[in-house]
Amino acid sequence: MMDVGGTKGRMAAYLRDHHDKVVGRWSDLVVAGVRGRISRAEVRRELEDLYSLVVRVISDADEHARGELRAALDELSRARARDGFSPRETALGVFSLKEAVYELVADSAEMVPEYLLLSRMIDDLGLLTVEAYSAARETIISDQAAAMMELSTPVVRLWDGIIAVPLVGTLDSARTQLVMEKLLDTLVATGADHAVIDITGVATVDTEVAQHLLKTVGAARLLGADCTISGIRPQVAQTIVSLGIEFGDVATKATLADALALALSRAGLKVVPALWSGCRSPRSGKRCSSRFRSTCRTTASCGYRRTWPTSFLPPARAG
Amino acid sequence: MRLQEDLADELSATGARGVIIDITGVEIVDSFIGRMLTTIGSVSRLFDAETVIVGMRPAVAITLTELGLSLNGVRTAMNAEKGLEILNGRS
Repeated sequence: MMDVGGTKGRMAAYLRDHHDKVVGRWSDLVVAGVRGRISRAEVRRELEDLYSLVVRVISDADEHARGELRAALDELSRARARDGFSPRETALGVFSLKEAVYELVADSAEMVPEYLLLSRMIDDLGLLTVEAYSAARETIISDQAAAMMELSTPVVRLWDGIIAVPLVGTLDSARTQLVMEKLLDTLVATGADHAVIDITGVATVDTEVAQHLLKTVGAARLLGADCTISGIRPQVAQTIVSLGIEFGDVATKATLADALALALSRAGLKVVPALWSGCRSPRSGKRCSSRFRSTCRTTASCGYRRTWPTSFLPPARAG
Repeated sequence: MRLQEDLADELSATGARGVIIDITGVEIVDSFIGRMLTTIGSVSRLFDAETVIVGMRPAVAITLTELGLSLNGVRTAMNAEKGLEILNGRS
């Protein structure tokens, strides 16, 4: 029968006596493992804390030591996970204590039971690190997913009474639900009665995605808002047709600009140049005095010449 | 049911041309309510009156969509004001 209490005591005493040597070697090993991403002084400080906790646990000095050690390891693993270390590097940080001690006791045969005890304990701690590490990683991943979800569904106001939802990425039922809720909430909050769903950033549209889109449009209609789908790319249009998806009487437009134009015309609005007095007389250089196109005297016969940038001009002056 | 009957009586008595149903206060709907709204729309149409449902909450709209009810034959509007605009534009 092994004398467990005595073994523990002897190991604790040994570790206490060789404090500087072991911690020094341990720090060397860890610093080599992390390849310069943490400074030696910092590693040394972290390990000093851990080491004193390990000694306290082994010597059974008080019952809080075990909990404190777990908490310290937990914290360390979390920090490593956040800083982007691999689980291997994180766990090696603990396991290299074994190596540091082994190098010291390798020559003395009488230290074998003590060393085995320490080794078993460090194995446990190593597993704990890996567990804490993966838990921290999972938290990071779920946080990022939530943040992405938030970022990916902005509802923007295009005009008084016209709002738009630019969708980017893939649409699944969870996202559709979020988009739908946000769109409807915004419709109610702003009292807008036109909504544009822009799917320029949606790579693929299959039957499921189309189903989701139609649901959103249907819900917006129930609130009394007109809904237009815009940004259908050529390939997407091909897919939609070949899949036999029917958008029914939902208005679809090629670009967001077209959808905005449609929404404006449905709202009874028209976009006109702010000032129509861009015409100058070629002789006197005098400006045409009218502010609006309807009152502009610039006709083929008036002698004034348009100097308005052509891009500003409305479509050809129909009869 | 009571609402349906009262509404039909009132429509035949006054010859009203439009019906506005404000459901701002409705927070939960089921398929029965959804169907009832459609029925009211159909009944009103028999009296040549148009039905406009106003003030639907987002949650209600989502529920109705998930139930597959699109309230055919009934117009919808954001608020009573816009509902009146729809009715006025028609007559």
